[in-house]
Amino acid sequence: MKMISLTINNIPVTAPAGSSILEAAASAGIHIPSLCWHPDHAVKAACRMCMVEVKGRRGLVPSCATAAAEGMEVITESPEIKSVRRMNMELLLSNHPMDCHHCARNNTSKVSDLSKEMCSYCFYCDCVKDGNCELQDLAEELDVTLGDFDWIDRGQKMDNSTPSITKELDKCILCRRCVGACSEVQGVCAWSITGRGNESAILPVLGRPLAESPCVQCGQCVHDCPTGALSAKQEFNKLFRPLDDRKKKVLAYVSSSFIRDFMNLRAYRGKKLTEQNLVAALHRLHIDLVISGADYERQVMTDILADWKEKRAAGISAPLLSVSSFAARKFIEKNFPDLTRQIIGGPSAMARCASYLKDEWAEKEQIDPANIYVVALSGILSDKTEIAEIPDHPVDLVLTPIEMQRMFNRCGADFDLLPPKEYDIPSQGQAVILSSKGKRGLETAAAGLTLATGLSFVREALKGNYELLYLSACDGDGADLTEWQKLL
Amino acid sequence: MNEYRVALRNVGKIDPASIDDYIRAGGYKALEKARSMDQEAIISEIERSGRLRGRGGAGFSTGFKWRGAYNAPGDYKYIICNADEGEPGTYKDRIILEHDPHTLLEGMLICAYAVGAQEAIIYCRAEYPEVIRLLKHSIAAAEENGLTGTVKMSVHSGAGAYVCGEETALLNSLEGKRGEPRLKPPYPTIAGYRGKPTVVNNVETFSAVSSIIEKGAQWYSSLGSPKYTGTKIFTLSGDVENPTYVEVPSVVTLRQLIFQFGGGIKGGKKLKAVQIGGNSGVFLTEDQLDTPMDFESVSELGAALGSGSLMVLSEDRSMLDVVIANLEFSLEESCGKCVPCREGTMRLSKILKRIAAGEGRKKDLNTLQELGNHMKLAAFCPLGQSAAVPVLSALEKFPKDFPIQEV
Repeated sequence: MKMISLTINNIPVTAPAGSSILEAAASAGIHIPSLCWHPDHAVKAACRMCMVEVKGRRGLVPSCATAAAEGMEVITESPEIKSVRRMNMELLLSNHPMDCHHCARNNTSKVSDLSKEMCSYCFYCDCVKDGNCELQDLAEELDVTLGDFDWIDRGQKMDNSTPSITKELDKCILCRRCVGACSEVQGVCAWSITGRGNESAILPVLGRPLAESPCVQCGQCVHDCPTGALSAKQEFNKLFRPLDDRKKKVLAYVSSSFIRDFMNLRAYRGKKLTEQNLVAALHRLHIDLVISGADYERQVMTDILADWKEKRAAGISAPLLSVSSFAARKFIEKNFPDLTRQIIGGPSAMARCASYLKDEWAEKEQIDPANIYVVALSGILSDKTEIAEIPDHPVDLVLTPIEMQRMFNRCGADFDLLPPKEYDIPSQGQAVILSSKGKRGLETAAAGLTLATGLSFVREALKGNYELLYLSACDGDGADLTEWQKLL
Repeated sequence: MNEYRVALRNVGKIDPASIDDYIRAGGYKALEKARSMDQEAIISEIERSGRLRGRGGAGFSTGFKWRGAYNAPGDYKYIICNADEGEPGTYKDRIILEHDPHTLLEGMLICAYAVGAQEAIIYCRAEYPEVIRLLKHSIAAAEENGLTGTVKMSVHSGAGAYVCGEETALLNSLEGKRGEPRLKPPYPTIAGYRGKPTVVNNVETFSAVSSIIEKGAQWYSSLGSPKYTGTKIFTLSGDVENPTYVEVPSVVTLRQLIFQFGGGIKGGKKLKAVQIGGNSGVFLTEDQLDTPMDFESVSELGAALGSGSLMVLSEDRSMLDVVIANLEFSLEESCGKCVPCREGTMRLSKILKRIAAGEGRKKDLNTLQELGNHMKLAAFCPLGQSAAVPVLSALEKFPKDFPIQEV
């Protein structure tokens, strides 16, 4: 690879030719703030946060969109640059709902004003992204609260039309990452930019509710959103009623995607939490039993393999498809309805576990299945959609890592104080996350090359190039069979 | 100073709908001559014409663009005429298009031949429907007369967005995308329309081409100032006795334009200011009237010649009202992509209106300054970068027009 040398803040830096200034700086450990830039998307240069000075060029240039060049001299911090960034932030915050810490009841915005007694069972406060928000972090970094501008309430309505995604347009800073994630990475194209100027807004195509768009709730946009504009639908308050009901047994199913994403939450990064810490915290919430999902996840894959062998023996023509999540299934249903019948494999891992609990296990323990409440903890957003859209789904509630973090915070489940505990129903084998890149997983969606890759895989498969495809909306990519057989 | 018509040479003399009239007036001779020349030689001629500079507003060297597209590798190239004349107070392109469409077509065909382009498209603003009809008619006539050769010509109607006058936003719009400026580089000459090498020039620029080819670079560069050769069309509007258009060598002064051609200020009033170059132009005052109207001299005043529009304002005008109107336009026409323009135009407009309502705050003038400078520095494209220019200019020259009641 051809390398180039430049200086950034008088520090000599070498970077691969073709890198942007932003990338070159990052590779040398020099932080340049940005909001719209995302490594997986085309460069937008819309937020104007990453503006830097390049010797010999007039004014400032966006470092995300400017190629680093041999001998370039870049300055990333100066009073002028700082004031540009601060002004941008003031402009953004001046119509952003500042309810990071906010209580709807006592009408204040300071966390110190919250009353402990009042708070214990009220969860209608705080922005979902509080503590995991890039805008909040950058505002803090730039030391900007509200500027000289009068705050404007944009008064937009929330979109809660899908079972798993909440959109709060008021919190949108129009960075367009959701558009990049949806159109460029996933190939779903559910988001579009509407209107112009100050009236522009990012809405589902044709301005209809999200549920009426091509959205399959893969959650990639939620994952990439730097603010609280897109978040997993918050349903954790639903858990308190069964928890308080003495007749009910509350059982928590813990999926491996949840564990990975939970540990990666900003609040827990560097804490070196283990699954045993998590089990202890769940017990602290008075959840009766905590069950590891690994065995069920393996079972799903074994079934797919068996199913495939059977279908092949029966002479059913390729391509056969298997899906990792409900979102991937919806993607096939919406885009390739003819292929829906080619999907093989049984119910999802959480559904298998919950069926077992409400059936065999309930009989063994002599509990009325009506008194069993199963909450599945999952890192995959479309699991919420799955239980909402499949009739009589055995899982009662799906909660995401951020929901659990908020719940633990408010119930005094302190990981530093709780002694670790083992699963009540552990797994026999290791968890298998197929082709997990483990690349991201901060919020609920998890990694990478997904539906868009899936799309090209499907196209290839239609040409007869594959026998079995594993289509993942959230996690990993299309994997081939030999890889599976090695794993199982 | 006398008027000297190059781009407007046939205006009023021929029937615009008649190609025969145009040919009788000497039209399409330059095209014939060009086609007998070497491609390189044509480009050199344009370059030598004292570097014919774009008449759309940016003043970029036309020869440089042509050479760029000529040298760019690619089997398919495009010529695009920017006829999205949306700048308030500017109507020069309309005069050419309405009265002499073939001058434009001839210029475009010469350019297409010079850079080796297969297709030539006119992007015309939707608000000129009769011009679009006339252009289609004229293209058909040129085709019938076998003048277009292998070049495919067409007209594309805009959809009313001012920002699409910016060449890369124009390309996006033409491709059916959202009308928003693109990142540069790559420049259109390398990767423009549909990713192919593309020359985008203004109507007035193309309309000067046939005369340059016919009469030679020497002749063209003898007109006007040495750094900005040739003639320029100016459009006068506002508080002037005779709001008109005039094509003159670029050595003309602002005073001559307003008093000789424009007949002075309406009602014998005194001049307060002239806004030059369109909606985002700076205000020039009485003491600057003897500036020659070439690109460089105007730039030295911290102004921009832009499209050559002159908005004359009499002593009766409040600059606050004027800049509120300017901002209203920028706010409406911002595409909304970048933060400084999307939020900044809205904030400037709100603060100005507050001052106009007599509720100005002490901090407001400072905020206007800071925000204006911020937009200049940080916005994505010229629309945002220049939206605050009239505000900053008016604040500097007419601070009394911004009354702050609060003590």
